[in-house]
Amino acid sequence: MAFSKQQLKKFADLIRIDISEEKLEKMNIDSVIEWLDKLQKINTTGVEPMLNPAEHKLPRRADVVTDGNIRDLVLSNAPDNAGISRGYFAVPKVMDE
Amino acid sequence: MFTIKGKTTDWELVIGLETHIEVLSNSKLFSGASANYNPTIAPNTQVSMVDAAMPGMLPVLNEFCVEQAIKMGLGLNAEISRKSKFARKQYFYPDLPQGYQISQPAEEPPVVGRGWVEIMGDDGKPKKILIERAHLEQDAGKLKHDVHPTKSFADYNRTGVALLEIVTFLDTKNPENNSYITSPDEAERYLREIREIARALGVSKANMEEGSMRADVNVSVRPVGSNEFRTRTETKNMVSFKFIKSAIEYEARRQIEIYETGGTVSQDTMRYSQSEGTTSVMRSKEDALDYRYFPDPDLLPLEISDEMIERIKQTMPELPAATRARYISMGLNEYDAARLTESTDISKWFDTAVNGKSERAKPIANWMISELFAHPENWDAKNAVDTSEQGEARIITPENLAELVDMISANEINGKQAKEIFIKMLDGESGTPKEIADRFGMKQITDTGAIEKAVDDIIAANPAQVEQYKSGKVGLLGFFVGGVMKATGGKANPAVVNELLKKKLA
Repeated sequence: MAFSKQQLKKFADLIRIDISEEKLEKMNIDSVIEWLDKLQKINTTGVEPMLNPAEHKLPRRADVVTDGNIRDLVLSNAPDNAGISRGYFAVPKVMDE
Repeated sequence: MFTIKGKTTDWELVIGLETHIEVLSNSKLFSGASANYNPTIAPNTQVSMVDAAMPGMLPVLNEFCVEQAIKMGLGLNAEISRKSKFARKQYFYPDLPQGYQISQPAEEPPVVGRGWVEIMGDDGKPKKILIERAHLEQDAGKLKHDVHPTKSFADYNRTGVALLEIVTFLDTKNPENNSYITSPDEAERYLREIREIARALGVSKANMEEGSMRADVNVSVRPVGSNEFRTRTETKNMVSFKFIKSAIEYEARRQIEIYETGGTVSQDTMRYSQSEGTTSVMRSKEDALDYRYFPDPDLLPLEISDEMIERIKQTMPELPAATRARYISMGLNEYDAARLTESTDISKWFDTAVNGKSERAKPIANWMISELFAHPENWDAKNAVDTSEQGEARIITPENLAELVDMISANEINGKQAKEIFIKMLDGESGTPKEIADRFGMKQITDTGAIEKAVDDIIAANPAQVEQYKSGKVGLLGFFVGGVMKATGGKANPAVVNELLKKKLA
């Protein structure tokens, strides 16, 4: 199964990767798809999906406040400093959703 | 049944609700930052590096949030999954810095599976609304659009606080069971029931005004009597009962008009305008988001032991449905029981007033529903019970109403006098009903001799009416009763008056 340029463009949009037209043109992921097709053919009926190779159980915390109150530290990572003086992260103007 | 009259036929509604309640906890679902995000707290002070989605940070599950979910699940009579997963729901919006929301997979049972809640249906009878699932997920942050001309400002204090999303189940295989919501009023009663269960269990404040309860509303319509399920639309992020009811009705009418003009309804996501009371398309079906759920590699499956469920079961308080059943066993009808369990504050008030004396139940219920509910300004159920708060503002207490009811049943006062005492209490008259009765000389005359004299006087003074009564105009009895009551200053026992009059006029 091969992918059209439009499909590749759609996937790129979904994961927010900006790919130029030329790159899309040259892009060939057929070998990846072939490999995935091979995986799909394996009969996994009755096999529980393995989510993690580790044997341990999901760690859990007690409901105690142990973190936070580090605004300056958190905001020091902000790529845009327009909101920092007011204590906010600044992001491109977005409305709705 | 709730129907909407169309041009060609009558239509009925099928409604599904996705209700988000914010889980009460000290810290967030996957981080140790405080879960208190109220608006008075400075922005981004309750944010850890996990919440800010810094690379390399790992989420660690808050066990108490799981307990809260189980508690709510038990309150919804639901199956608790012994094993469930956390998944990433991908979307790019700056209110969630991760680029995905940690939720539970859409296609597998989450922590809370199939369950049901009971509400009062539009026919006044109990109705079971089926629940499909309830899952744990992260809440998003808040964006401010009005601070900066070209940028939005993000506050991540709420980011990562635990939410429980409760989804109703549309049993399409058994439509005749009527196990889903079919009117705006039922939607409101369902949401109120969810709210009361969450509050009774201490799982959530479930307060729509504060945003700790929000709902997405799915609506479809069909001709009355049909069992089909047509295409639904989803209206997102509704934050008041009033708007939800208005959105349901508007959306139903919009769909009916489409069908009646030969069109088809498309499975769109709608937005509701509070100012217009209308819905409009926010996202068409073609543009539906592809969330690309996949298991979160940072989180192993959530396993829940029987012991944990058993331990939580032991801590469960009485839930509204059980309270209703208890009230019905005390002799109340279903309507009264439903009204008195609209909030735990009301049912506590009622229980305090009845105080284990079931003969008080019916009269107290009547007084509460017909009198107290009509005077909300004089009666705050919460303050009436909690004597530590606003002692002065408590005008009618459960003890006062109980005393009033006892005075009637002991024939110390009649109903009319009780009403007068009640109104005096509402007006701020101090003292207990007994003290008020003494102060105003309200005592029922049960002494037959005194009443008999008044009866004789009335009969002697109105020979014409006596003649008419005897010739069959029995409706005149009220005239005589009224006369006697007036002569005794409203103090006579009406039952005794009635009995004596009938005897003497016979």
